[in-house]
Amino acid sequence: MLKALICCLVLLPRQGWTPSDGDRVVVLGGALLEQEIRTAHWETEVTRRLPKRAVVWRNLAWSGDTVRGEARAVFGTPNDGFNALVKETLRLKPTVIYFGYGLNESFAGEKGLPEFRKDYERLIQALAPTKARMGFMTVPLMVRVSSLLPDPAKQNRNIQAYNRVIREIASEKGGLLVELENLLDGLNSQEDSPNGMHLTATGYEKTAGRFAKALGLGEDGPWEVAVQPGKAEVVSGPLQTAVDNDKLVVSSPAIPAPGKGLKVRLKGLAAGTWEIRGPAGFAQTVVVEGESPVTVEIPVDAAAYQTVRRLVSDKDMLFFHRWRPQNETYLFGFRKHEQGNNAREIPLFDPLVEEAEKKIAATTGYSAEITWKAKTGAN
Amino acid sequence: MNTFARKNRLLHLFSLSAAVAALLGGTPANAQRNFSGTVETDPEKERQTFKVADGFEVNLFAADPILAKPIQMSFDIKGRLWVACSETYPQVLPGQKANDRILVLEDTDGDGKADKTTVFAEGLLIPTGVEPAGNGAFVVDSTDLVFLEDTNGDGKADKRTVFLSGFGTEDTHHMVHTVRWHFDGRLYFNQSIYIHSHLETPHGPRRLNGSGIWRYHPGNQTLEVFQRGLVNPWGHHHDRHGVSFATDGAGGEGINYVVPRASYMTAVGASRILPGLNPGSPKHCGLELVSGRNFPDDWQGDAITCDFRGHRVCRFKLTREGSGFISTQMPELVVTNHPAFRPIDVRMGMDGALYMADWFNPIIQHGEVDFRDPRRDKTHGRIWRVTAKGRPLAPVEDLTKKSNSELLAMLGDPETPRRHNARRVLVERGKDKVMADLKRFIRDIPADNELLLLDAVWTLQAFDEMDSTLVARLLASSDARFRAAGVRVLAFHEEMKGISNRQWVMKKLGEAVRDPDGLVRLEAVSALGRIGDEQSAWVALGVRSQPMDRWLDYALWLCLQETYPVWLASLDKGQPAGVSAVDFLFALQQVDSPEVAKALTRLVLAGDKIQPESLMPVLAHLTRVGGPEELKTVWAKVPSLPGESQPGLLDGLAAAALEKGRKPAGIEGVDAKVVLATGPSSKTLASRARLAGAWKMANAYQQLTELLKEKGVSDAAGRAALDGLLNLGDPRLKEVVIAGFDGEANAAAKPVWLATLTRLDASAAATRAAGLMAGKNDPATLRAVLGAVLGAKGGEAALVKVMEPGKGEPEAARALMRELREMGGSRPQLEGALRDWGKLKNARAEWGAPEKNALLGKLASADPARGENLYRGAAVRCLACHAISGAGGLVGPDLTSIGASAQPDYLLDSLLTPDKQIKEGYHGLVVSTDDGKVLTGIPVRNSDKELVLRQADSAEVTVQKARIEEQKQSTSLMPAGLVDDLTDQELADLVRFLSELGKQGAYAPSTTPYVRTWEVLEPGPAASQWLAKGMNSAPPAALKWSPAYSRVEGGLPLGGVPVVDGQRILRAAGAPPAGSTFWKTIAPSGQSAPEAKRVAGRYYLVVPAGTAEIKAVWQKP
Repeated sequence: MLKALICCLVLLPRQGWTPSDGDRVVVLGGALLEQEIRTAHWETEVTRRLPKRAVVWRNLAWSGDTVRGEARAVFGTPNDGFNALVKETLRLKPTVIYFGYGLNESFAGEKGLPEFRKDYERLIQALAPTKARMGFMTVPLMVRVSSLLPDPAKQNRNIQAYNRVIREIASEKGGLLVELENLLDGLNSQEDSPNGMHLTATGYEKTAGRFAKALGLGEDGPWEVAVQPGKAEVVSGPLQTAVDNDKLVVSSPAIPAPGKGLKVRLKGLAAGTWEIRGPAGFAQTVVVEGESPVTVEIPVDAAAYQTVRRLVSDKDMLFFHRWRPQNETYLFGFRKHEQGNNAREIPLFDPLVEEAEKKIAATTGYSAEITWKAKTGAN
Repeated sequence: MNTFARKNRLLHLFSLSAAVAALLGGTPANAQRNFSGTVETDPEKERQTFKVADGFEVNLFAADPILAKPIQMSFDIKGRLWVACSETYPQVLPGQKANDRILVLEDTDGDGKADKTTVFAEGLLIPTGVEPAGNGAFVVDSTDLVFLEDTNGDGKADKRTVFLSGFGTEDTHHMVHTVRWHFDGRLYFNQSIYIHSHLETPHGPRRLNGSGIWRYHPGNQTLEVFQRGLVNPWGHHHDRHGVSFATDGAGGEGINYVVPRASYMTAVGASRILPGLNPGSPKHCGLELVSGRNFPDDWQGDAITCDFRGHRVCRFKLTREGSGFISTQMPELVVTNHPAFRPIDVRMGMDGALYMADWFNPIIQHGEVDFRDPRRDKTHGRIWRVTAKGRPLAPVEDLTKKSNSELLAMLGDPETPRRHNARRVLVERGKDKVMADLKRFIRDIPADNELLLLDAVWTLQAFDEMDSTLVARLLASSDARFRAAGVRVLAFHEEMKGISNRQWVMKKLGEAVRDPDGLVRLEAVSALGRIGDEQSAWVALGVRSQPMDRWLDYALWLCLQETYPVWLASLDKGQPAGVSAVDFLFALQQVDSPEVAKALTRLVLAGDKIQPESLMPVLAHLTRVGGPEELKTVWAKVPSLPGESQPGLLDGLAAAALEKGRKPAGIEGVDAKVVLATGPSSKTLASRARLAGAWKMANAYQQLTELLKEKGVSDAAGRAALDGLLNLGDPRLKEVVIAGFDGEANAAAKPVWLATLTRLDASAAATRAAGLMAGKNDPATLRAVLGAVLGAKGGEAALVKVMEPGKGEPEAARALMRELREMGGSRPQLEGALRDWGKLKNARAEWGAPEKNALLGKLASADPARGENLYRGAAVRCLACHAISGAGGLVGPDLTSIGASAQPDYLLDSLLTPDKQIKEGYHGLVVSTDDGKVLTGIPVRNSDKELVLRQADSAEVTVQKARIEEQKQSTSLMPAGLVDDLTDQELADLVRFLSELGKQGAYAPSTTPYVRTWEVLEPGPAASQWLAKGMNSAPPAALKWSPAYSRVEGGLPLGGVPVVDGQRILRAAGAPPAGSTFWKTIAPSGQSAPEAKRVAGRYYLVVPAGTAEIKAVWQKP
């Protein structure tokens, strides 16, 4: 009975979800996802939009990896790689798993498709005990970023064939389809991508919005509050407000997107000239005529976003040292018996990761006090 | 900062680490020995300890505190020295922010000392490689190969692009290193034995397990494996004509000549490997081939590399021989007994001086040392500069300020770094800005300046361009080295624009495989393997029309392996046009694939296609690769073969059945008589008996038991019948074997029964084994009985069970223990049981720090000479497994410079508890096969199909992978308790001897090529007969020769060497150093040297019984 239930759980349609508070997310895949932790643009963009940021995000991607886990075999057989992939994922007790496989496999072309499907299904089956919701990323088509590099057209036909299989799997397994096929559209320089398949820091930055959207997080417009004296209404954004006659206090556990501001629409002010003041010395004079509302856009401090992004990346690197430490041979491998003193250091990364999470949570957040005061002509 | 103040600060840092050690508490009390307070950290004082080759001097270029822990160095296009440094090594501490750096050191006033330091990049995690490029450098940052750029010109990296990620980090001293641009404009880098890399490129994923050298084109991002294997290939450079050489920081074969794409020791999946050029050499790190005006003429092209264990910077002379090279060790460039001088990289500077990176640490910081051991120095490091006195230096210039024509003119400079960096600047300027000037320059190259021509061709190659008329000029050179270089360019022709005609390339390679010079032929065969089209193999086979040698044999074999997936498809068409039958047959036999079996069988059946003398090897190959139909053909051919050829083939057929489950079609159900009763029985009966069993033929049980009864196990055919019966798996056999054992009259034959019985019923065998061994101390019986029981699955466990504690006598237990050690391998359970059984004590295994320290305290007064005698003597017999300078067994690591790399406490620990620390490449494997055998050894080759183990007697055994049932890491093959019977004083002497090995002094590695491995004649009737006839004929095969090894200083003491009829007969054994063909004895002072006698092309020494010692040196013609 229980078994049947688990089966059903895996097969239940789960379209249209996003990670929510309390989720433990594991990301699997190759170099594109592995390298994301260096700058953390994507993760920051995703978690920025999750109001309480109470999601644990663990990236287990590994360059060269496939649904067979073959990049993780270390000294063992290819199957040891698969076992390592499954074991480490299970250890993290995920409630959400995003799969980012298919690029490395796709170089085998059409003839590799049946094996790809079979091995993908084996991996899903092996991770079924987690009962996690599963998201399946399609492979971004390669783009031409240098005339020296091969024309990606042929390989892109392979990628499209593999993406068809990934879409079928997502549909059959009732998982979320994370459509990334056109993620790299428009990137055409090595400033953004060293090779048309991976990304530089600017490449990650430019594609972060698309990535978040593909996960179902939608466009994140500017935060906006409509205010009448004594009353405030949140138009968009995860905001709380407190208002009285000449003051609005806006706060959020999240942070707004860099480069976007907080829009405040003031209605019901008497005609005349008003001075609006906001955080970080913001001051603007507006003229109110008749009953028309005025809108001010209060710029957001981009540094706050960058601070969070660096903290996220630091957290990811700490976790990287935890799950993929150097010197594995001496820590856990066949030479561990020789001095064996250092394996005990590795779990010491766990509290550091926890601490880093807390630091991110403490740094994330926004608050602003906006005041308005009549200058002349108003009363 | 004045020197005095700096020194005080450094001493302070050392004592700080001592304090940290004390706080940690868990650190062994002896960790500080040989360290704090005793290591001289003042660079000038270190410099004064250097013994420098005549005519050279050393000055300090840079030192701590401006740099610490340098790993790789490289000079850029402005003459600045880039250094990758890591203080985080070996492992980032939880909570520590890795903050390793790339430094740029500059000598702005030309006085030979760095006076400006820029931190180009920081925040890196153990950067093991750096190579400048463009406005930055390629840097290895743990898992990633990144390009760090300074985009705003402030001298600091502000942009990071990951070109490749997924390099393994399983051991931080194995991570990607030796990142270097080579002459072809490609970036080469190496990884070591424990690294498993999975890299994503736009051409698809690339993977490499274990050691190897990568070749990378950062422009189009093609990535290929250029070489596989070696343990720690920590050096790679090329000679003036583009031939690659590599060094190995853990393998002991000195300079390695790199045949493109070939495999060397430890290569994962390789079934055939190439050796290094200096077997028995200490390990080396870094490699630079000397060039330029500052070094004297006789140094040009010599290889400089670092023996960081022995505190030496070594020199090897490379000379051509056949298609390969000879490497001859010369006296060192720099040598010292300063315990912290650890040279790990060498580079020629733009000024033509040689720079050495000195890691500076009294201990070797290998992974088996606690990562937090306070002896791991974190704060020191030096760059030394070696110049030839009174010779000119090249000007150090900013090449970016030079015009194209000035840079092109530099391609004629004698310094490799100047030519190389001039080419870098041109390439970075880009085709558009350079190509017109380059073409003009090429037009004006004088016809006789082939060096300049070669550099021009390489410059074009770096631009992905090729000019076939220039390559044709190289190919037409009267100097083979230029022809070979031209061929190597053709190997990569598909990377370059300019060759539209593949036919032309193949035509030129077809000519080159028949070149009078071996190196040209080798490059051609190698090029064909890389090109790998259908014709490649057939063209390459043309090389067989010329003399072959070791390198050519390998290159052709490799070419056939690389190309056969392409040409196998065409085999149905029969013999390719233009290929002789003999060559075609040869090619087919090089390939281990079922497809070739069909083609070979067709040739066999055609009758007239195969010369009679070629038939046997062809049939033998068919037994290895053939399926049922092919084996049927082989079996049908057996009766027509001469009798002496038959056993080998029959055994091959049996092996096919046993190891791969392949039998001739139609053999099922055939009566055993068919196999047993046909053929000349006297020579082939044993093989036929085994085959009948292997094929599980009808009525085989009955016929083989009859044969066994008739012949008995003292006879080869009887033993074969027993083997055959074992393969049948008939349950009745056990009774037969027990009866046979009980009724066996010949005591020496009992172990044969016992070995079979162990396979059938291990505990029944163990009881009988105990009975056989009871009361007997003669080594031969004990060894035979132990060997019989331990060679089969379950044997050891059963024996442990019957060894009841306290029931044995100490003397008997000691005798057994001795034999166990002789057999090699580690059997802790059995050893423990033996101790309990014989009431032996093993106090030393439980020694704690006080006992160990007491013993280490005796070292100062211990006698290394006595220690060497113990090393060689019967009580411990270290020599049987561990060679020194190549002389001795191969099972354990060569100990040539162990004393210079390992601390005495490590040496003592290794003797007391051998399992505690095991050198990479020396982890034993215990393999159980599906027929119940147990094999123990060091894996030396490991391909898809076969595992080759080196057993305790240094012999190699091949196991079919398909037959392996269970495989586990054994602990050390070195038995525990080896030194139990030594007195404390003797143990101290032994440790002292080991600790002297490799240090400057009496036990330093010698550059003199002494004959170190001998074979000595054992007495016996055949020996006496041969001597009586005046040794006037080739030594008969019946003579027995035993190995003998010279002492470290070169002499062979004759005390233990057997006397035969009043004299000792010796001959040199082992591979002579390359190029040496004979040896000369050195007379002991005041005596004449014993005369060497030449018999059948080999020299023998006849030494009067009274002579105490001899010494001989290899000579070149």
